[in-house]
Parts: sequence; C-alpha cells; structure tokens
Amino acid sequence: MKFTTPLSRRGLLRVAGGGVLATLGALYPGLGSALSQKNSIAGASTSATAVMPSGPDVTYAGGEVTAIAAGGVVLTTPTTSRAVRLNPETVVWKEVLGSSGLIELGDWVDVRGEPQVDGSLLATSGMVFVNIGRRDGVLVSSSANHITVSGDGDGDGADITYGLSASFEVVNASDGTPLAGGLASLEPGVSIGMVGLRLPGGGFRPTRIWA
Amino acid sequence: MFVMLVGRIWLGSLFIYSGFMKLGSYRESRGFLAGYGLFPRWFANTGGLLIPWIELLIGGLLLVNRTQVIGSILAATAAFGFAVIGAVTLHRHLQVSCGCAGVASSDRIDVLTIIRALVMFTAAILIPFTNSTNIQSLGILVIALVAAAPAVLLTLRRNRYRRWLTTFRALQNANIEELTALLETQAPGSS
Repeated sequence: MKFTTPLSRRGLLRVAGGGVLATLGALYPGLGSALSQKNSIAGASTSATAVMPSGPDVTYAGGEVTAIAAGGVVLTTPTTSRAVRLNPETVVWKEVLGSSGLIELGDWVDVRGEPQVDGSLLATSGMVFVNIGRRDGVLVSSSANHITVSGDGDGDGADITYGLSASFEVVNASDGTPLAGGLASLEPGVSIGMVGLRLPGGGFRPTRIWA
Repeated sequence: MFVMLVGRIWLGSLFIYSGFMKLGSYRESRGFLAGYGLFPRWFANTGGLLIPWIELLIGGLLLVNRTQVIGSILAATAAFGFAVIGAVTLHRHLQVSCGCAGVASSDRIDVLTIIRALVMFTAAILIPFTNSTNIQSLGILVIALVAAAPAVLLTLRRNRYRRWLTTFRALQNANIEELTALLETQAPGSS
C-alpha cells in the first residue's frame, strides 16, 4: 500500500511559498493582506454602466431612484442603471396604493414590467414596489397598533416592536385570504411573516402579516 | 551575535512597518485604541494619534547602533503593553481587531497576538545584554525602506481605487443623465 504521493516541483514551491508567507504573516501582522489586498478595481471597468439589462430576468428592475423624469424613473444599483417607464395610470405601492408621484429620489424601487427595445422597462401597473421590505419572526405580543416579534433574522433573537400601518391586514399564509379576527386571532409563539414599508434609519412598518 | 542581530532587525523593521502601515491609513487606524474599550476616550484618541510616530521612533532607535539600548527599553515597554492589552481583551472575550498594522490587519486579537508581543518583549530585553553586530548606515536605510514598502504599496493602491471610484461615479452620473433624457422620449415599442 502506498501512503505518500510524490510532490511535484510546482507543488513543493507552492507549499514552500505558503510557509514563507505564513511565517512572514506571523512576524509582520497584516502583511499578507497588505500585499494581496483586492478591491473592486479587479475585474471592474469604468464603462460597466450598461443600459441593457444583463441579469437573468429582464422583466425585473430594482435599485435606488437616482433621477425622476416625466416619463419614469432611473434606478441605479452599485453596478448598473436602468430607465423604468411609468405611465400616468401606473399604480405604485408605497405602503398604500397610489400614483407614480409617490416615488421620491433616494427611494428603493422594485419593478416588474415589459422590456423595451431601447433597454428601458415599461412598468406593469400594480407591480411597482417602493421601499418594500420583509421581516419574519415569532409573535411575542400584539396590540391594536403595535406588534412585537422575536428572532427577526438579526441573529440576536432580540424582541423588536413595530408600529403597524393604518391599513395593515392579517392574512392566511396558505391562500392569502384575510383572517377573521385580524391580529387578535394570532396566538403568541406563532411564526409570522410581514411585508411593509422600510423606513429611513432602518425602521419598518408592516402592512401585511401572514401566519 | 548573529541571532540577536536578526532579532534586532526584525524588531526594528516590525515597529517601522507597523508605524508606516498606521500612518498609511491614519484617519481610519487612529481609532483602533478606542476599540479596545480599556482607556478613557481622550487617552485612546491621543494614543491613537501618537502611536504610529512612537513606533517609527522605536524602530529607528533599535536599528541605529548607538541608540539600540534605549530603543530596546522602549520596545520592551511597548511589547509588554501590547501583551497586557491583548490578554485583557482576550480575557474579556472582546471581538476587537488587533489594529497592529492599521486597516490592513483586520485579524482579531488572539493567542498569536499575545505570543508575538511576548516574543517581541523577550527579544527587546535581550538586546542590551548582547554584543549585537553593528549595522551599517546603508543597511539601516535598506531595512527601513523595505519595512515601509507595504505601506507605500497600500497607499498607492488606495489612491488608485479613489481615482477609479471618481471616474466610475462620473460615468454613472453621465449614464443616469442619458437614461433620464431617454425617459423624456416616447417608448419605441415593446420588444
């Protein structure tokens, strides 16, 4: 039985080089990262702001609103920008349903729509979501206008209390139908999911809760 | 003694390397002492500002033949301080970055940090008791330059990144303007 495999010259050099670097790293802390530190220059190009979508789903666009024009908005992510066309009758969700006038600079918008030949996306009415967010957790307690959940995905399991939207609803997770009794029908300890408006400063206001 | 000469060169170059690395990211790394949560804020802030310069001074004193004894005393004091701070931080289970080489050393304080500080302390206290071979002036200069090289490299890379970011943002803004103009026109039809 053979217990060892022959080491090629390249392998030997690699092991030796690794050993030298590890020793230098122990003697001079941070040397390894100083010599090999990579940043976003690698593989990036200043001409990478493509107008045409390159993602897997061309019917979707998401990003921060960086410009508002008469015909729509420009959504920008760290790597790309895309024009989204909004018709005057396009319904937009921003905690409540309304017109595209609800959209402001700096908002985060997720849109589904129809890709246009000029690279823009024509938004589908009702599929424009502004500052929408999701939270999951276990119900601790609730009142008429507040809800407290734990294990909110932050990893610390701390209880978090959210103020509820004036138009919030409680639905059945399986079919989306409103639950009779609303929030009062949910027992503490039940797992719930929530969608709602992401507020400035990291806050969140649920508009729909399901269990 | 050859071994002590090597130890002296290592210790001197380590202090110079560490000082230059902190100066290379002065704004970010001057707050590292405050991160330990062991000192009053004013002390941590002042210490954060002074430590890179003190490290450069110690490194220089260690390498220059005539001042190696005073350099080794200061180095031993600093190394002992690092070991104590590291041990207290570890004992308190604090997840604090070592900050040994400015922003380049994101490693958290661990046993290796303390061992390194103790080895530094041992090397430093042994230097005055040995007849270390003198280092020529040119040798001192070469060691200092080599020790400063990673900090210079890091600074150049950071400046390159800043220039790239400025260009990228300018192009991104131009692209946004172009798309805004596009939105002012009629959609040419669905694909």
